[in-house]
Amino acid sequence: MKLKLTIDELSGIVSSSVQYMPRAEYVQLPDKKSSELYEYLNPNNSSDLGFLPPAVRWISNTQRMVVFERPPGIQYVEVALDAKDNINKWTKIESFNLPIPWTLYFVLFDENFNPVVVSVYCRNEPLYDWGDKLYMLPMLNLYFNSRLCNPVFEKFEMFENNLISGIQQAYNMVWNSGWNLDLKDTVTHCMSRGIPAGLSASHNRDGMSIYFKNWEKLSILEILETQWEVPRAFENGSGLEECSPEPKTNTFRDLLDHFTDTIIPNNGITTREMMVKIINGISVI
Amino acid sequence: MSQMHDNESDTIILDSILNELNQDTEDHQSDSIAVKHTPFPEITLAESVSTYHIGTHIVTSDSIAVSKNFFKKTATDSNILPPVTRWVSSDMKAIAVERQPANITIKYVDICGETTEYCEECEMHGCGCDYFDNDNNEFIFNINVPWTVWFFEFSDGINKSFNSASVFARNSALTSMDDELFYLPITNLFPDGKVCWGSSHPTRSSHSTLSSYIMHSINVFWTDDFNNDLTSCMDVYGGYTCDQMFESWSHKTMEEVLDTEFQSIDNGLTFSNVCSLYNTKKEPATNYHLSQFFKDIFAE
Repeated sequence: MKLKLTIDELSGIVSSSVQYMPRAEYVQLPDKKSSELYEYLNPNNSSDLGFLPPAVRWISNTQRMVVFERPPGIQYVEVALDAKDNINKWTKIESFNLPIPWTLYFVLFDENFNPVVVSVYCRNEPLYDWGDKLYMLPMLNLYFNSRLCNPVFEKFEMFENNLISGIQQAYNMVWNSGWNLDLKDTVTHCMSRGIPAGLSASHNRDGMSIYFKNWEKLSILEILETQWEVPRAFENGSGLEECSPEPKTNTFRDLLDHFTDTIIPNNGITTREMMVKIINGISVI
Repeated sequence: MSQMHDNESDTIILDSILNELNQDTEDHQSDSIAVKHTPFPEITLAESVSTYHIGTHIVTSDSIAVSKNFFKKTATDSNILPPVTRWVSSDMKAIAVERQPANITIKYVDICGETTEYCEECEMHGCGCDYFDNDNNEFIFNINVPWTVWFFEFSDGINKSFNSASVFARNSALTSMDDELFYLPITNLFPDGKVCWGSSHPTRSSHSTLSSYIMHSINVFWTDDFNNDLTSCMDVYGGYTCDQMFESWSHKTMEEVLDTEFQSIDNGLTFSNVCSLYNTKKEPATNYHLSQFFKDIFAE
């Protein structure tokens, strides 16, 4: 498809024609006021997001992607020491109070501010700059690329359809939905490298318990001295590197671009969609 | 990003544009005085290569890049927000940030900012200019500052320098849009809480993020000298000269400062009231906007 636009700035008229198929005749579209087409393409329909929680560090142009940050703290987690399908009333549940560094959450929301995709990274300092580096956090329920495996999570009535509630939901999905041993990618990867603080254990159920028990003994200051692992899309040698791009670097800018591109390829709009949007605009204004 | 490629149908359209361009040039040569050429932009969007053509100027561009720019141009992201950002306007041209209580050392110079000599205006303010005469007009105070709420307005977009900043006091952290804001008892503020930056208005360097720029700007506010210009926010607390006010403030503990009954603005100005001032309506588009829109898309 091809779309040809001529903008007469004196009369303020935009004339357009479209070729729907290669070599087909151009079809003339009705002339329209260029200012009206501009306003159709650039609607000021962003809503006021209202009162923000203090943690928000970035909001996308669509207001549906948000990055929020949490300071270091002791995080209470409960771990069912088995795979999800094997969990029953005899499954051992252990709880840990883990010192956690600064954490950053990349969240894609749906139109009602329900979290759809969540990625979690960590840092030893708060975020200052696009070039600041983000790291892999060894926690359960995360895929190797730091994306959260979404829990089955009931939206409580107390949650409203706004950003502040959306962020609360995302945070609960990460920390308060209960961990199990289904997805151990980032933990086993970091365990094998002695992260944090040289902690290491076998990758089985008992090893996980020992790893988190020893982690619990660390102070927040010790945690903030950890040299964390660089996040990657796939584990080395998995063979998947060929079919999907790795983030360029582990800077905030590159990981944000990678998150955007992998979730919404081409930022959600293709060349054809762009043309269709303009043609729709010409037909409705 | 301009490039050519071998897609046949795209080549046809490019050839057509180049032919039109040649024709256009010939017309000019034959009657260069009588014909006034009006270069209206012509945009051709295609699946792989798109063109922007105006007068003798042609830009060809990868259509994916064009569509990405198309999407980017229709809205702006927030840049890196400063910590404790509590509100962003719908057009992302104003933000509100909150700062927790802090012990800050300030320098107060008991002169009018406009002059280094005694002036009638200073006398009118009653701001203790008598200190100036005995070479004792500079004061260093260590004060406990309560919670503050800052508004920054960016008329040229959130990636440029801000146009204006306002600051208000609070006894506690904000909890909702309906929370009240109060006069911060300090000099160099206009009655509506706007900061008079004088010659120290912080400018944005091209590489600084919004976060670092705002944090730097707030630091500039506190580290720059205060003087006895614009005392109305302090005057509402009544009865003291500026240096006496700062002096008294410097003896208060943080608990005492946070227990202070700060003065209301306009019978109870709320956080929401100030935010609504910045949620302004977009100006209507002119004939020129659409051309500029596509020009920018191809230029980026």
